Amino acid sequence: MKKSAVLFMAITMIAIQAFSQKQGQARIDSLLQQLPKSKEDTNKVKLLNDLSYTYCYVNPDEGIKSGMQSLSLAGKLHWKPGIAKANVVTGMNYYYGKADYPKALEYYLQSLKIDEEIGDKPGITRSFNRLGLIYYSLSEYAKALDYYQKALKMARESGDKIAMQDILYDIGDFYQKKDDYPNALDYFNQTFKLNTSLGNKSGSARALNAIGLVYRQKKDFTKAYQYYEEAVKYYEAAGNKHAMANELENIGDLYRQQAEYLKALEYLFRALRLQKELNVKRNISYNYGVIAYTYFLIATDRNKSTLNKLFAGNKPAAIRKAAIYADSAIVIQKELGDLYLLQDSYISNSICYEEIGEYKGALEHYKKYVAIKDSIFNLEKDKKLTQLSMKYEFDKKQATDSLQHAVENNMNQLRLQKQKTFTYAGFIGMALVAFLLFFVFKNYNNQRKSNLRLQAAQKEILEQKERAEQSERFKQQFLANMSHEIRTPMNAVMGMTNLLIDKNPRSDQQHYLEGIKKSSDILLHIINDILDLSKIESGKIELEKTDFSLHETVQQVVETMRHKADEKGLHLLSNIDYSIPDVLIGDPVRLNQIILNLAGNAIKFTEKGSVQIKVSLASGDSSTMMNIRFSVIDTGIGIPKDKLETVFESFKQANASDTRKYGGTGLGLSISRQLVELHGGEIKIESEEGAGTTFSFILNFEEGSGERLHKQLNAHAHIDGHILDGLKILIADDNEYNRIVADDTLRSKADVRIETASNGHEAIELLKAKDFDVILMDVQMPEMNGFEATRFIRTNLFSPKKDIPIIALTASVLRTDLDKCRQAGMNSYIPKPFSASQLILGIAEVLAIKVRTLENPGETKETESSDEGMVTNMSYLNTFCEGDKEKMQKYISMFLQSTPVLFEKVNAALVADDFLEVANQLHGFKTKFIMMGMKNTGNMALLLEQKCRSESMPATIHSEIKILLADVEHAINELT
Amino acid sequence: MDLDMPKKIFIVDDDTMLTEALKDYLTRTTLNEIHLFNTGEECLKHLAENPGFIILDYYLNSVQKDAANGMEILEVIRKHYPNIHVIMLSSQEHYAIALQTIQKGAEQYVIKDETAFEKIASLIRELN
Repeated sequence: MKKSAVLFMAITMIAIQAFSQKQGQARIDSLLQQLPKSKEDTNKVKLLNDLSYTYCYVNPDEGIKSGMQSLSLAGKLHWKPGIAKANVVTGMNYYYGKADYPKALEYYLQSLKIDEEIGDKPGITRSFNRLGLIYYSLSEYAKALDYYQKALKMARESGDKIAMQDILYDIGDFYQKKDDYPNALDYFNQTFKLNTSLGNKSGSARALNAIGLVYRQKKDFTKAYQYYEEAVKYYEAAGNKHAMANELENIGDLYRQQAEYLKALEYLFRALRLQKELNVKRNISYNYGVIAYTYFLIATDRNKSTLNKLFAGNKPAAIRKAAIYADSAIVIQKELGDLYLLQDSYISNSICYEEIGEYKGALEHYKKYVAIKDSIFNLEKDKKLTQLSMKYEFDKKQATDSLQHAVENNMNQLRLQKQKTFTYAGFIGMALVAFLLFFVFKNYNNQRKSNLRLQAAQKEILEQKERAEQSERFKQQFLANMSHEIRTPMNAVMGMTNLLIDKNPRSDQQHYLEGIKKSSDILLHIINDILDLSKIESGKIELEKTDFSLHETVQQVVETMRHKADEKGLHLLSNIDYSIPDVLIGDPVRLNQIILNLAGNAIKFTEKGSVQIKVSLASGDSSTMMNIRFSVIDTGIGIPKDKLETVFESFKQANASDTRKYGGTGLGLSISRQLVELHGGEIKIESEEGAGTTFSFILNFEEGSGERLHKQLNAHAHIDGHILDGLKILIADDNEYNRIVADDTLRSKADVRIETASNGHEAIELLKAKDFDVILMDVQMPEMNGFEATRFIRTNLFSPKKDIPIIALTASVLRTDLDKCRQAGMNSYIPKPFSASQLILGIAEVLAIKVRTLENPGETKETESSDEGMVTNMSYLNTFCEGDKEKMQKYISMFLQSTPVLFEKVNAALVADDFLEVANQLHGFKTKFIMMGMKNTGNMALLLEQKCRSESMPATIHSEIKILLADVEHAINELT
Repeated sequence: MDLDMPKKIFIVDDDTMLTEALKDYLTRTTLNEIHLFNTGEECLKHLAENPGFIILDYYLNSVQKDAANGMEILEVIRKHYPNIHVIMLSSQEHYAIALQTIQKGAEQYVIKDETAFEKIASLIRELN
């Protein structure tokens, strides 16, 4: 019951949006019609401003667009009032529509500046008021109050009563939100009086409502009802039915809270009648939800008096009534596409059905609730990420701004001080020597004073710097924690998936495992992206200097991206200038990362044509040092001119909707730019919308040595795990799954003896009792963590146990954490998630075991004797026909006879876009693939069939089908 | 009727290679007489022969668009010959479809994979 009450309450917490979308849309339509007819003059600016204002709640993106248009037109006309207003409406779109307060602040400040220039007093007053509101939203309360007071003073002086009542109300609201009830009441009362004197009934009602709310918060309900009722009367007199309905609902809500359900229903139904008259669907659906909740409460309340009165004590009847109203709400919410309310309605209904034991209905609604919750979660996550990054940028900018400001102030003061002292010296020094003493004293005194002032300012600067650094540290900490928290379980997921794949799963299981593997790869990729960015930003990345092959690095990008390009039917080309030597000295990993990000990005935003990676000599001879230009050229959608700069910002894509369409974190370009800058280069973009984009950068490289490169490469060949045979290894990790993964991985590659411990204490006890060659120690464990355990071993145990090699297992990749490992006395570390060869190499390294490579890699685990590169495999057919060659031939020829039909029908279906037919054809071939031993082709066919039948078909389906047909063609060649 | 005499098996699938292979397999592993049909309609015409088992594909209309699908055929069989064991064959593991077919009276829902023939054979041996 408690749980359901909380959930139901969620409905009532959502504020009623008074703005009717429909009315807004009508106004937008009429404005859009007028616009083309008007000339390029102030009238057009006015229309655009009006349009932008109307878009505010309906479509802020469009609102910002028209605000911008108005800004540029008004700027051209040098019409300052228009510019000021355009700034205001654009800011409002950011504030109300996008909740992007820092951006809104920029525009508001701009409009204030212009208002002040032209001396527009009403404009300044309102600007002050808006600034108060925005600083409140940014949690800068002192500033907010300051602006409110400024606005109030100005409005009072100019007798602008309309503005005054708004400001008074906002100040009251401010105090109310800060739980300062006396002040809130004071300001709301002033608002009421002012409005009454103006004869503004709606304004008076708004104040009364606010007073009622204060009393409600103070739990003085009698007074609350009084003021609410009074507000209803005023709204009625003003003919404002919309607000009246809201007020009635408000009263109903309060009665419900007081468990006076009959009264509550009375007011809710009164509100509903008005809402139906006005036909504001959103409010009606919301009210239905509240009514449903009220009936639910009537049914479940321990005090059965209302239930007895209304339903003769029949609880299921009351709940059915609740379900009916919730259902009615759902119908409207579906129509409106209002996910938030819909979510509540579904869970409400689920609870209703559960309460009366209709579990099937409960489950159905619960499922719908979960589905909607998921989509809301996705939306919110996107929003939160953008907001977080915006807030962070804003804080950073403000900190540096005020820092700079303070420094400048001090410099000016000092300069003035010095000038003054010189003048004094001129006068007094010439007149009387006797004053000299006095002068010296005064000078000293001034100096001392200005020194004190300087010190105070410096202190302030230091504090601000401290704060900025702290916020940076928090960010670091957050990222480090996140990396650990996510990477640790990821390690388990990926490791166990790999173990399962190695254990010969059934073909369907193989599918699911591949799916898990692919998804966790993507997840890890995103986490690494975020970590990379934080590392670069905090200067923790150092570039490597090693020999590498330019050709191979570029080719690697091409290989990695080939599949994605093929899927979209794009040509992926690479073009390297022959005059550049192949072996260079630099950081191939980072270079690969830069090009990979750019190429990946290009492929993502290109629908047809090509993506080209071009490497050319930019300047300098081809001797030792040279500037090399890398360009990634695509024929994609291009980037609008005004977005060229923003594409490099974190979490940004040119259009917000792109994230959904194209996927990705929006971090890739930001990382690329930072990496290029780290190299001392600069990324340039040239782009034409619709024609394509070219990203290019120039880096400086030195020619390397091919011989050295060759040596390096040999070290990375396949490693023989048996070099570890006979070792005794202790694994300490609190996570059971991680222990299993490490244990299984090592055992599958080498003949080792392994014992496990789940915390530092256990590890020490085991080490005391038995002999080990090496310890793999997780850093974060309960009771005693890896650092503590290592320190204990190093200081309290006797030789040789105190010197046992200890390798840290850590999910953190931040240098500070790795330093901690070394400080604690650990010999080395292996990052999680780890691969088998990383484990083997890491152990071999600390034990100084010579690494040996496998003669014939891939031979270790091959259960099925698959013929190299063959699509077909006759072993199944052979078993099936019990070796009867004649029968086998019969099936093979049946297969061969059926393939032309498959090609013909699938191709025809593709031309006709009839994917259902493709699915049917593939379906019919599944057994044939199995019989011909075409396991992969069969799996592919199954997946493709599902894709063809699903509603959300991937864009790549054509090329995927082509790949499958190519497989079949291979099979035909092999069988004939 | 001779109770000891194994009953006929009808295999209904528009994939001729599958019907052929399944027939081969069942001939080897059971004693029943086997008949093949490529459409459900054809199979219905021969129901009077009183088969003991019908192995029925779920998608029967992948070749002939206007042919009835397995579900429709299953309903007809159930209605007129409730004693025939119907084993449903499908390429896809669909829990919902499996439940539906069993609800409509199918004996078992078998996925077409490497083990499908074996499963069918053992089912038939059990029910014989």
